[in-house]
Amino acid sequence: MVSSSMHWVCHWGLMHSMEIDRRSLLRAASASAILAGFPGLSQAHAGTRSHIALCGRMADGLDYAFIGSMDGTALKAIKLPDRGHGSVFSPSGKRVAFPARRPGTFCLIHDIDSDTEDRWLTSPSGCHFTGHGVFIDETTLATTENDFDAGRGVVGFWDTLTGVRIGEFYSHGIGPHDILPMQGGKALCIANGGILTHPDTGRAKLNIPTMQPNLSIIETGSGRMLDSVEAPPELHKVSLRHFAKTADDLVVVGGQFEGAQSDNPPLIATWKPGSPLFFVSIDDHDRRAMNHYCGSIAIEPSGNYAVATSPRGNVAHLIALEEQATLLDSVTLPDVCGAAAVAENAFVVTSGQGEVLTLRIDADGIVHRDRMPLPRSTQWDNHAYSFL
Amino acid sequence: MRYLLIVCCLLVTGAGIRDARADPDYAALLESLIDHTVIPDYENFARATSDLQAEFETNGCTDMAAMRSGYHKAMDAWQHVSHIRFGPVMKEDRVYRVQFWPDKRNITSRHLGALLENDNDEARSLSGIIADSVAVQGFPALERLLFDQAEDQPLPEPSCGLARSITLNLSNIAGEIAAEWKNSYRRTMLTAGPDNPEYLNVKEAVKIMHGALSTSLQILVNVKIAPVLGESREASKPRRAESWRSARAMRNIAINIETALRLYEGGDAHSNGFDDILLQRGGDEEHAVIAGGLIQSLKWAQELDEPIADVVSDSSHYSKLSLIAGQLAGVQAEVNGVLVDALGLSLGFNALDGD
Repeated sequence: MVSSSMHWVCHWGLMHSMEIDRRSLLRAASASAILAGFPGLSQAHAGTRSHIALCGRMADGLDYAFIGSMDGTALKAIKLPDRGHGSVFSPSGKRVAFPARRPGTFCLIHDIDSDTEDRWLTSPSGCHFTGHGVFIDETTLATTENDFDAGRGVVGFWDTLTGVRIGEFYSHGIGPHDILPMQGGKALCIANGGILTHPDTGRAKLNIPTMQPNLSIIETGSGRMLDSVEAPPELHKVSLRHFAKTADDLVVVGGQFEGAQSDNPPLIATWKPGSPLFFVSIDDHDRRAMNHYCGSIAIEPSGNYAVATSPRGNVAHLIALEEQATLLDSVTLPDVCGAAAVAENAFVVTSGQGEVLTLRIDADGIVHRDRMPLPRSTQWDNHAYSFL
Repeated sequence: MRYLLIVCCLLVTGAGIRDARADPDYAALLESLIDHTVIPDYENFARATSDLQAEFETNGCTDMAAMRSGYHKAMDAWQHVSHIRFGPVMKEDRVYRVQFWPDKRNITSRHLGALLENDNDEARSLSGIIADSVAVQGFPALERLLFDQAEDQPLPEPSCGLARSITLNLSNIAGEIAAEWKNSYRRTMLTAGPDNPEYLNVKEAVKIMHGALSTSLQILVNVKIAPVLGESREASKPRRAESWRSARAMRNIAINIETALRLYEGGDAHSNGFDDILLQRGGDEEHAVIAGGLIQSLKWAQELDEPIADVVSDSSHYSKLSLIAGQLAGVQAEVNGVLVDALGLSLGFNALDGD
């Protein structure tokens, strides 16, 4: 019987890999931390609260949330019920949240240096998480959610101490994904990717011909829309999904194109609220290199540089955020996606094939890359977040 | 055997074992897939939609049986190519104009109702519908026009005029896709390289073709079957099925499975296909799972040739439909696992849509 032999393979695989799991976890831990061993980096973070948070699938096929201190002294791995996605630190960096990858319904809340038990939020019936959130204050988390029966995006607000969902505001679009605090937390910026999905049909996209993504800013306290921007009509199939911002609220957004493969639209834009989107001028070749897909955006603390990763194109583009943003350099790495700032002018990028690289840009604008000597047993998930 | 299983497990868990042997003959695979499945199937789609349009031109809307039969033939032909989500069909929203589905919010009925009530005949002309929603331009709208009517009646105006415009639109789109494949896109796919407008290397083209196979299985399971099955037979939702109005949900599923099998085999068992590459790399057992699973589920789907509401109201038929989904999910696991490795591809962990 064809099907029974297959079950046997799966079952056997699971039994076998439990041991691999413990071993690889120990090996990862014995490498001290995700970032230990990068020249200069661990010393630079000595005595600070700097952490990095990311998700990954280990060799046992199970999904974990990882929290590593950047001085290389601690690494925690917490098993997740399913695949994770993004994460976010509280303002003090003492707490971190991991909302489930869509269409998941769990969100892990972990207190970094207390022995408090981990807490789990559960999205209300009719809603699921989309993998991203932000802390409004030390305890209140805002998460993007899909209110799928209504076909509208919402931002849910959670008391992370009690697990109670306090309320929600309209995200002002369909398919909300990434979310950022703006104006020092008084406002929230939401990337409404524009794509309608419903858990009944998995991740199938239900409205591509008419999709209209936007970036919307709402007032945190009232949900009132303060500002919103769309791409021009000819770019309406560029789903605006991920972004990062500088200290003075310049947003850099990366899109995923849902139109014909033969088209090659720009995917990376900057946005100063109040102005239109400005699509970064990248030549045809480097645009094509992204293969219609930007997976993650990060900006380093000085605001000089951003990185835009493309797991489909196996490339990370480094963008110089000058008056007119331009492409500085590109780094090839198969299935690269996660990206986080680790210091001024320095990023870490991670891949679905277990690679971790640091990218440091020197004063001459030259990019230096270092490969972390980690066992490649963990498939790093789409995003990495740092608290510096 | 045991060694093979260990390798499989390591691959599934991403340990990154690399096959040291030479790359498979990608060009031969692509050529076979294009010339034995894609192009002939698009030509068939162009022919069937042109025949349907001719029926409307010649007999007006008088012979409902002939119109429905033409509809079924055209839909059969579309189901043979609907898994192709790259190349000419993705230009100008053609794929959605041919068939906007799933349509959970019933956008088709809404726009169709408004269009039929419009006082201006021009709104229902070809140029009128092209300017309207994609939902009124293709099969789902035509299905409502033809199957919400009694079988022995001619189709009255204004439905008739609109149906004629839709068939003309379908025929035009199908003809354009077939012509573009023959005239240029075949070449684009077979000449990957730095100067190619779409494929920087041949693996990208193979990956797209493999993706069509994998996605067709995923859509069968997640979009066409699981939502209909619901949580239980009591909670099944036959109206979530594709083409339930024309009572051909199971026929579509059977055609899609048959198409997946043809794509896997590169046209038939004798032509260059994914199966040959898998077998060359010692994947006999996985080949048995893929080919055996497709053949078995195709047989079951053909046995369930009845309206979907009847399938889910009978407990043994409901179970059989669940088994089809399970069987296809097993096939998809092999297609995304061992077959990917045999092809020398890596499916990105992070490259899924919308992540």
